Amino acid sequence: MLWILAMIIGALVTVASYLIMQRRIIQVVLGMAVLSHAANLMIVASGWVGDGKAPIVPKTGGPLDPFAYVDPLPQAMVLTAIVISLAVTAFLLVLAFFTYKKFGTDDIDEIRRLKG
Amino acid sequence: MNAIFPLFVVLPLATGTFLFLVRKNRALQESVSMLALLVNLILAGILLSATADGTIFVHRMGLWPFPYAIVLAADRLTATLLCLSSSIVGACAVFAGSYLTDAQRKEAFHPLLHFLLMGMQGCFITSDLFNLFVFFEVMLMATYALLGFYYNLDQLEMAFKYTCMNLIASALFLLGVALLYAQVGTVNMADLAVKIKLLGPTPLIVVTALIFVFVFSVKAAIFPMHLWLPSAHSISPTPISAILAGVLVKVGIYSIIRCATLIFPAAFLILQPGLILLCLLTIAMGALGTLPQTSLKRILAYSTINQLGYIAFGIALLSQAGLAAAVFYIVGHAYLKSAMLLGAGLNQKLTGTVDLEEMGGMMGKAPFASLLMLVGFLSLAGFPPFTGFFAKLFVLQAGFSQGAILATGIALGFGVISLYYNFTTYQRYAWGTGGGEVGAAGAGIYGSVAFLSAFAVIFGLGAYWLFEWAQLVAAQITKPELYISAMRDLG
Repeated sequence: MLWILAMIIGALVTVASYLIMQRRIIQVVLGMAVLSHAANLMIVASGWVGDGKAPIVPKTGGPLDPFAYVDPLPQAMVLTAIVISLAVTAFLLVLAFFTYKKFGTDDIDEIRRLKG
Repeated sequence: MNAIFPLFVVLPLATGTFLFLVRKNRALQESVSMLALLVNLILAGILLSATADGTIFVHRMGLWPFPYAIVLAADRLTATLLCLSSSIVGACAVFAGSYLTDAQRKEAFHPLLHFLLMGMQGCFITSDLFNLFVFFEVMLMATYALLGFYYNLDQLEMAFKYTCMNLIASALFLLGVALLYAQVGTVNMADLAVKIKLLGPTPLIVVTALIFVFVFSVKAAIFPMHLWLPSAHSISPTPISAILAGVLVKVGIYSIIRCATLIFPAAFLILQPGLILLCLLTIAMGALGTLPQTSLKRILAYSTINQLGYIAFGIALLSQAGLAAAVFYIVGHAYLKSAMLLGAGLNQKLTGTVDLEEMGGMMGKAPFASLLMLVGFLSLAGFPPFTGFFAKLFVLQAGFSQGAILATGIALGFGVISLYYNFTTYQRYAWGTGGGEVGAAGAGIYGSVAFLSAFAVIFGLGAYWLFEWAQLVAAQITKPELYISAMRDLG
C-alpha cells in the first residue's frame, strides 16, 4: 500500500514543480496548492504502520498488536496542515486576482515589463 | 510563571481580535494596541528576570503527560528573544502612529501587527516541531498581508514572490516533519533530541537536518535563499520593514539554533563545513550587494544579509563561544537594524525620498536625524565603542580560537568591505549634494528612532554585561540535558 502513496507523492511533486515554473500566475498558484497536498500525503504516509488497520480498539478488548494499526496522530496533524494550506491558497488567489486587475495580465514576464 | 507564560500567545491573539472588532474607532484601537504592547513588554521583562537563575519554565497544553502534550517552554534564549520582539514591535507601533499619514492608515494595520507578534512569540515559546510550523504560518500570513499593504504594483509583485518562496519552504517543513515522524515517531523537541541521539546520525537524519536548515534559512535569508529580502525590506511600509529586519529574520535564526543545539547536534557536526561555506557566501553577497545601490533602504537590506551571515557563522561554529557571540550579535543587530530602518523612514518623512542621490547633505539640513544615523552607521561598520564592533569581535574571536583560521579570515576580510560601504553611504547621506526642502517629523518618529538607537550605545558601552548574559544563554542551550530534564520532570 505504501508504495502507491509514494508514487502518488512523487507524481504530485512532479506536477507541482512543472506548474510552479510556468509563466502564468494562476498556474503558479495551482502548483503551490498541489505541492502542499504532496507534503500532506507525506505526513499521512509517515504514520502508516504494518498493514494499515484503522486505529479503533474493538469492543472485545484483549491484548492488541500496536504494529497492526495506523498511527492516528499524523492524521490529526494533517488536518491542521490542510486548513493552513487552504487559507494560504485563498490568500494567494486574492493576490493573483489583485495583480490581474492592476496589470491586466497574469503573465509574469509581461508584469515585469509593465513595471519597467 | 509556568501557568502565565502561554499569555505571550493568548494576549496578542485576544488583542488582535479585539482591535479588529473596534476597527472603526481609531483612537480606541491605537490606545488599546499600545497598552497591550506595553503589557507584553512588561511580561517579557518579568519572564527574563525569572529565567535568569537558569530555570526553564514548561507548560503542557491540556496537561497531557510529557511526550504527548504540546509543550510550551521558556529558557533564557526564549526570554531574551521575547523581550527583543515585544520592545521592537512596540517601538515600531509608536513610529507608525506618527509616520503614517491619514491616507496611509488602514484599519487592518494594528490587528495584523498583533497577529504577527503572536506568531513570532509562539515560535519562540513552543517546544513542538509541528506547533512551530503552525506559528510560522500564523506569522507568515500576517506578513504576507502587511508586506503588500497598499496593493501598489511593486508591493503586489514582491508580496507574490515572498509568499511563493515561503510556501515552498512551508511544504518542505511539512516534509521534514513527516520524515522525522516516520523515523522516531515524535514531534516534541526534547523527545526528538533523546530519540535522535539514540538513533545516531544516520544518512536519513542528516538529510532531514538539511531540509530544516533549508526551511529556516529562507526565513533567516541565508544564501542562496536571501533573494527575497532586499525587495521585501525596501518596498514594504517602513515600520513593517523594521520589524522584518529586527525580529522576523531572527525567528529563522532562532529555529536554526534550536536545531543545531537541541534536535540534531550530531548531524550538524557532519554538515558543518557546508554550513560555514554558506555563511561566508551570505556575508559576501550582503557586503557586495550594497555597493551598487542608491536607495538607503536597499543598502540597509543588503547589510542585514551581511550581518545575518556573521550571526549564522557564529552558530555554525557549533561551540559555546560561537553561540554566545551569535546571541550577542542577534540582540545587538535587532535593535540596531530596526533603528536604522526607522531612521530611513524618518529621512523619507523629512525629504520625501530614500534615494541617497536625491537626499544628500542631511548634516546641514537635519543635524539631529543625521546624528542618529551616524550612531547607526558607525555601529554597523563595526566601530568601537558601539555594539557592531563587539558583536563582530566576539564572532571572529570564537572563530580564531577554534582554529577555523581560513574561514574566519575571510569573514574578517569582508568586514573591511562593510566598513567601506558604511562610510561611503554615510558620506553620501550626510555631505552629498542633493536638493530639496526638509519637512518636519513628529515626536513619535524621533522618539522611537532615538529609543532604538540608544541600545546601540548602551550595549556598546555595556558590552560586558550583555556578553555575560549571552554566555549564560549559550551555557544553557549547549546543554540540551537541562531542557530535556525540565520537561521530563513535569511528565
